[in-house]
Amino acid sequence: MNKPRTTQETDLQQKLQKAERLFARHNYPLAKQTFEAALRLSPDEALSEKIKQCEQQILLAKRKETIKRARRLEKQGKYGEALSLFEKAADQQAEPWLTSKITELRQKQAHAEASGHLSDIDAKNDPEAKLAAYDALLAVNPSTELIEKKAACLVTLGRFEEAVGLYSKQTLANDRARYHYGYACARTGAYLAALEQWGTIEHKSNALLAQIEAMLPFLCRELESKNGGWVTAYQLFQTLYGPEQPECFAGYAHYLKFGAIEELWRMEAFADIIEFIEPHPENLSLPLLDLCAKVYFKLAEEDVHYLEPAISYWLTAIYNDRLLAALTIKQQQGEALAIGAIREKLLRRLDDLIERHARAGAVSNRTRAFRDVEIRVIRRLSMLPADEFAGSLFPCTPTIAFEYGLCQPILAFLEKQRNAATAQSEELFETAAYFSVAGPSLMMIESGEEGQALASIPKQSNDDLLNYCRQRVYLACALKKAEQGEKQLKKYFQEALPLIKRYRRHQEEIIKLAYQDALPSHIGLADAMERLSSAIDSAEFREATAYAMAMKARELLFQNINPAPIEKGLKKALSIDPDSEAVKNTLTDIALRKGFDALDKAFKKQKTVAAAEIVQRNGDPRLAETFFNTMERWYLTVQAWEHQERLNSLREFYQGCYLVDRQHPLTIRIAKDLKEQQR
Amino acid sequence: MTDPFTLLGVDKTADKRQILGRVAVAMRERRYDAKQIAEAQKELFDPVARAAAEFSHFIDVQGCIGDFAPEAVAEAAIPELELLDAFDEKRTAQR
Repeated sequence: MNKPRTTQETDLQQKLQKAERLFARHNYPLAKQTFEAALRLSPDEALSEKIKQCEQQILLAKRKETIKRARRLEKQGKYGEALSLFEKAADQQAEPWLTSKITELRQKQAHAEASGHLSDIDAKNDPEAKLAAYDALLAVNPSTELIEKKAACLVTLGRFEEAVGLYSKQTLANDRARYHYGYACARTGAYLAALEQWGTIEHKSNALLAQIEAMLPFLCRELESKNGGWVTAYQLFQTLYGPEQPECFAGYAHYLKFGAIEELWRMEAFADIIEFIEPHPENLSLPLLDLCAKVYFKLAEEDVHYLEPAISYWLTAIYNDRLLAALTIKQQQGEALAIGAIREKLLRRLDDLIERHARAGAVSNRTRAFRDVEIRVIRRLSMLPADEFAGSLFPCTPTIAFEYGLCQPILAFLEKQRNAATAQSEELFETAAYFSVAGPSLMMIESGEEGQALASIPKQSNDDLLNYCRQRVYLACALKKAEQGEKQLKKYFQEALPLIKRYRRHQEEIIKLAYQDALPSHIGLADAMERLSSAIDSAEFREATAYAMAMKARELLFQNINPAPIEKGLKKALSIDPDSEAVKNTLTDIALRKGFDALDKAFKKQKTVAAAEIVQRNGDPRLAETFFNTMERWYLTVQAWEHQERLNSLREFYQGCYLVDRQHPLTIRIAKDLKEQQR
Repeated sequence: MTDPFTLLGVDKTADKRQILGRVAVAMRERRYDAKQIAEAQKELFDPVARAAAEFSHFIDVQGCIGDFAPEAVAEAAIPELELLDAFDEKRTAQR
């Protein structure tokens, strides 16, 4: 029975409202059912459209559910099932991320399948079959692991070139792969490449080290034939064996090391050679001296810090006749080419180098002094007959001798030379001193570091050389202090007295200083020389001493010191050198000064006759001139005075002037004036 | 300090004829200017300067190596190395 129309409409309205509510709450299945019920009550296109919308939303919800399930399955590693669900979702609605996901899953699935196969393949005994299986798998899954397995299989099959080709494109992650790669390299004759691989193996068994040892002669042959790779080979060798390499490898290590040095030299990578030659060995062979000299020279061309080692090694090398005689051109030309000329040329190269750095302001006084000492000493040594040193590094500079423990034989040799010498020259003594324990102190005084030299010099002993050095240091300090005008010099000169007495050149050094008028002060030097003069039997020294004492006296006079003790000092100076003009002149000056003082005093008291008597006693014309100048002034002053007063003064003036110079125009004028006044 | 031997590409044993030949080549190649080439030639023609240049620019490491020489090996031979068990996957797995 049909419902009444009003009831039907009410029912429809209720259904529509319910459906819309459900739709709004996203409950699409129930909304669809309710819309369908409403449609049955009243067919309407709008309702059909709503139902379609509900159906679409239901489908979308199902798709979401499918994707969720697919993700869960992927996490569980069920790639096949997950893949079909993602594909289903993509069929419903394609999205870029879904496409990527499907591709990724397909790869994962293939890889999982391949892994399953891989363990089966690895278990096979037939390498050919294994290789074929690896190739098949690689076609779908070209993983590093698979490539390495294939390469190892190729090595087993002896197909080394192919294995090397495969390995070379991979970053190898395990020792096994590195060993196989190295093995394949070795079997193809690439021994350096093999060593490069084996060098990186973490655990190096004895068996592996034995294989490396067996390979070393072949490695050397390879390096020689391609004339390169030495540096790499040496570094790998060091990595493999470290500094404490087995005795049996020492020869190879040495061989590779010098091959590397030669390679770096060719590449002009001189700075890199340093780590191969430093720290220096205990003994310096002639070839190593030659090498070090050239390397340090090349380094010093670029870096002034290498200048001092360059100087020492270069000088020692170029003063070695055997090194220069071995030069190709010298051997070709024989006697026609003098070793001395080659040496001079090489010495000039060194000086040019120093000069170049000096122009850039990079050479210190110390380095200059260092050069001077090193060259002076080696030159002197080179002039001595040194047959007993045949085959050794003689002559050498003090620096080289100290570094390589060569001082003792050189000192013994120089002592023999000193004993054999007829005259005791300081040169031999000084040369030996540079090789003694106090040698470095001597070097310091050469570079103007007297204070440091004094601090470092050993105490006095019975050792002649040590005492010589000590006296040299004290003398250098004394001279430096004298130059600076210091006053307390006696103890320094006194310590050096034996040296000064013995060698004239040191007396001359002091004499030269005494005559330097520009010294800030002669006082200390004069005192020291006065004391030394009694011990030094030299007319020049006495003369210079008197001169210094005169200079001291003048200095004191300028300081307005009482002239009496100064005069006493000058009299002592005259006893040292009775002919000293400087002393005599100074004494005269003192007398004059004393005269002026007395004259001044007398004038202040207006005692004209007393003043005249002072001038008369002194006899210096400068004093008389001053006297007459004052008298002239006074004479003019009294002209304005009253007659009697003027007359009295003129009488006194005349008396004074007459005493000093009766012929002086003022004396005559006053006499004439007096006559007129008395008339 | 330019190395005249390297500049002209001659060995330390080169004679005057060889040096002149290399001078001509260097002039043609124009890798160095004519003045540098002339100076290099002059240095190598002066025995004293040449000796100094040889001393400065050549090293001889053989003297430092001394008597050691690597074991002589045949030209073509590759050492018959055995593949070590420790790195052989199959053998390692069996152990």
